[in-house]
Amino acid sequence: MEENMELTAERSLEIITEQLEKSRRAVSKDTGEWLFVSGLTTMITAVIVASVNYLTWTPLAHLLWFALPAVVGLVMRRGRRNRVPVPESFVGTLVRKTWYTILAFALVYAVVAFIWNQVVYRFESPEVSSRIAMHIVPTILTLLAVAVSMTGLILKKRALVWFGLLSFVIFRFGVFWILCARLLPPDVLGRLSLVRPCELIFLFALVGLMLPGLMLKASSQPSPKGKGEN
Amino acid sequence: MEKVFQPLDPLLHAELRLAVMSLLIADVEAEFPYIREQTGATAGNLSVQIDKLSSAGYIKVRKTFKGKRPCTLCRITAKGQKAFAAYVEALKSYLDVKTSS
Repeated sequence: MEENMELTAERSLEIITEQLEKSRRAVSKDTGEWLFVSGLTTMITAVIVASVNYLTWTPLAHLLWFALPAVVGLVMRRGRRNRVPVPESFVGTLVRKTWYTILAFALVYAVVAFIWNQVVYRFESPEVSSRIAMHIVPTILTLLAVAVSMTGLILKKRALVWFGLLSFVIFRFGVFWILCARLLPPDVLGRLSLVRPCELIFLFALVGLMLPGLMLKASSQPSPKGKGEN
Repeated sequence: MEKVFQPLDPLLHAELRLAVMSLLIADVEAEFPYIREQTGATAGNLSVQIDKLSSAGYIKVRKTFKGKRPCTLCRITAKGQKAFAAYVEALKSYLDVKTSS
């Protein structure tokens, strides 16, 4: 870009639009990477927790979930070591604050519910405890689906809004289990129920985090002309 | 009645400076390499234009360190925001004429 005093009004407007769009695209790409890494890490954690659960029959493996935010943070930091950081922007801040708020709610709920469930299962009868236990996974999946949809609204990516809604409907309302019951043989279904809820988290991470992340990253690449919306 | 054109700020009416300001208007604070990457300018040219914007008080340049590496951060000032808004307003008067003619 050279200094040019012959700049027309149209070209000025074009420059402003182009730069604003570049800024939004940088935030979209950054968010896409973040969603992708979160999804992938969650899927790996789900496999580890399910394996440990299956082999040792101990619920303690679920404590690994609490390490997830730190693992995602570390992976992102390592991956971005030699790259120019995306600056703070209004859109970026909005996305970041949305996720921090939702994740804070999810973490607090998970901790309280985990402790509550341990106490309830220890001191109450199975009938009572199954009724008053707090359901951690459906609530957290709902919160994450809301965050994905809100991110889509902020970044003006309609597909992301639908990914959030779709994952909410499939994994929150038992549609997943209805499909499994219809499509899978009973022995596979039986084995799947042994690793519950890891299979649900695994698939949610795929549909609700990893795929939207990939989509967001792909759609944030500059168009061949170098400008315009994707 | 004759249409009155608002004067365009000469400091902003240059491709690279306008691009820098447009980037900074959307971002809170941007690093020099990020601005260079987004505008596609050379380091030397960008540095000169940033100095001009900084001297006019449109942006604030902060030099710091990131580990052992020096890091230059640019942020738009309130004066810069006002100037940018005025420039866009002035631009509108030119575009109005073009679209109505």
